[in-house]
Amino acid sequence: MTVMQDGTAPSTDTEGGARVAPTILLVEDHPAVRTGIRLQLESHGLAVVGEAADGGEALAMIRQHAPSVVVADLRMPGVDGMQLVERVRDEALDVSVVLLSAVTEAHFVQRALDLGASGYVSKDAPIETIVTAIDVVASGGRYVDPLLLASVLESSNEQLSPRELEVLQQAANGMQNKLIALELDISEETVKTHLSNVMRKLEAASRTEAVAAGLRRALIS
Amino acid sequence: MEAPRSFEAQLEAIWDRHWSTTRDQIEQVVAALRAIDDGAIERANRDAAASQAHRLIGMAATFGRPRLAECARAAERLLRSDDRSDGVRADIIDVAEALDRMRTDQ
Repeated sequence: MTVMQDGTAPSTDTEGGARVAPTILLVEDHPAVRTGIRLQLESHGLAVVGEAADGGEALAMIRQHAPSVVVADLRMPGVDGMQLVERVRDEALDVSVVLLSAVTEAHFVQRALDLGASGYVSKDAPIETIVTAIDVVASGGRYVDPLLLASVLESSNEQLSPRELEVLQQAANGMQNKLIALELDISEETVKTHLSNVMRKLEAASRTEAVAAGLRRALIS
Repeated sequence: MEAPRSFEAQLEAIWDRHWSTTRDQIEQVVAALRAIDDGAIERANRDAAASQAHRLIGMAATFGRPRLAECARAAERLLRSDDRSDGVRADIIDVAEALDRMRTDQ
């Protein structure tokens, strides 16, 4: 992961030696906040080529305007920021997404990066941090707000494996161990081991608590 | 001809234009916090107030009001939490008072 923490002005992204300035699509449901962020980005010389009020509108505008970077809020009505990241990944759209959010819990940041977000910045961050994030992701790097990075690295030590996530999702669907074993083609004993590991990693005292923690952290749906 | 305004002046103008809505949001959050303290609020109303607090964070952070953003963040955390220990109840009262002051001092 590329992480710049010096808050410097945008560096160059070269194409045949010439600087290619990032073009930005801004996605935020609150019109005043959207305008405020736009003004600040433009005051730093960045080109905002479009604005959208939610993820659905953003997807249409990405196809239409082909911005190099999407700066999106996380919590929005309709298609939210996390779902937008997933859709961009699933449709293999050639754009980097920076999530700009008031949600700063490490597990949300980690989840966004796992889904394919290129950057994550707190809304409390100074505008220079957002500008740096845009510059880094436009150059193909990844960026996490320095204020969030320590907690993200700490929490990533206890990430659930893909299999543990599958087992937890099946448990959340109300399936008993025997059925989960059949569904995933593993033994019932292995299901128990996975659930035990999930409970330890999520610091849950029971299967129900583990499911609740998984839902709260948006690890499962 | 009117001279072009700096972007800081434009930001302030937007803030001023939305102040009445923002003030109403603060008022709703303060009312919800006080209702928690009185033990008289439904879960749905608490969640709605937490969403208002969340929107306040974005608005305050974007328009350079870090103290309001900080209080709104504390309010959202308290509104989403089920912890009602003595320490948390004291925090609820403090945050409600701080937000109320910001609403009336602006």
